[in-house]
Amino acid sequence: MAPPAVTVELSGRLTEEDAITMEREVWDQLQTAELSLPVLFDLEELEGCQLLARPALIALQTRIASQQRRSAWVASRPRFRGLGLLICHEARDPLASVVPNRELATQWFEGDGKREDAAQRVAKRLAEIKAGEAK
Amino acid sequence: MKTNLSVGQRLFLAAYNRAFATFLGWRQDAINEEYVRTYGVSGLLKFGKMIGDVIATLTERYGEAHAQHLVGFAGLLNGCGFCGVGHNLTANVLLFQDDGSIFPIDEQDVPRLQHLEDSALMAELEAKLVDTEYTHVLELLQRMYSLRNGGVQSESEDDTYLLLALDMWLVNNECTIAIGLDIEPEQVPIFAKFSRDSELYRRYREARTAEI
Repeated sequence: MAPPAVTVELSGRLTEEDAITMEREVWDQLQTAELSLPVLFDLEELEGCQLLARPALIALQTRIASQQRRSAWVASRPRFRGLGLLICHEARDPLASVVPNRELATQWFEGDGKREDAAQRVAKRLAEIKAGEAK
Repeated sequence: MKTNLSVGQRLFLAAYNRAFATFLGWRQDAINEEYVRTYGVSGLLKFGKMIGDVIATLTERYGEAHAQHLVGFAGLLNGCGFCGVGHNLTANVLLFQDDGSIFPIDEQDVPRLQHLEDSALMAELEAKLVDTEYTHVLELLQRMYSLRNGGVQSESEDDTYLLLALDMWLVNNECTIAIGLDIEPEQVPIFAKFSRDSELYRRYREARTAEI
């Protein structure tokens, strides 16, 4: 069974007003939630996101970063994974990740890695290949 | 809110962007700036070298064009139009230069593909790469997709190379996404010594249009 998380399901076309309301409501909830509780943003039913909605999403992610709380943006469309990545990037939140499904979100919540760890894996694999040790 | 660059960083970038364009053949000033904003000058240099090493490693194993297809697919999956369009464009022109062939996936189609559900995206790639000459590249793309989506564990030498591409583009897209999420395909450069103004590119587009 997946561990509990504060889950935010976004659907339809997200407007600036929707995003501002969502930011306020989720932040209200997170201020009293256990810090060990991660946040899952589910974009499966999202159809679009106004450009003007992005600042509120980035502001919320920045607040989550200030709590050092783990979070994940789940999207099965590349376009919305890109949106999630932009938000994590602009919020400078190393504990936020973008994943294609909820199973990988659960793995992310259970681990202690950071998004930037991918660079260490690249260096390790390059060294393995150079040494002829690739599996 | 964007972090301002220092005067020193701006001076460095002015020189670096010129040298980058001279030695590599295309400009990506806004991407370089985002790298410096995110990782500093040392990060730009470190990851720039790392990307070069990864592409060289993939090229040695799969050839120049398919190495570009693989990293282009990694960028496509991450939602980056700069990498999704740019590396597929580079791959397609290189293939055309090699033997006159037109790869079935048009780089201009990448933004539309990025709006599809992953399952529909893979179904479309499978339908387009149905000819036997594309069997190997299709298998590599399918395997990359499975590795990215966590459905399988790494178990072969190829997997090490495919994960190398996927992880490198997780790092790269961290910065390119700031420009690549909303970029128009026509604004993306070819990542090679020849540009969109070249005779080679003009002939490639003409041949692709004639294929339809």
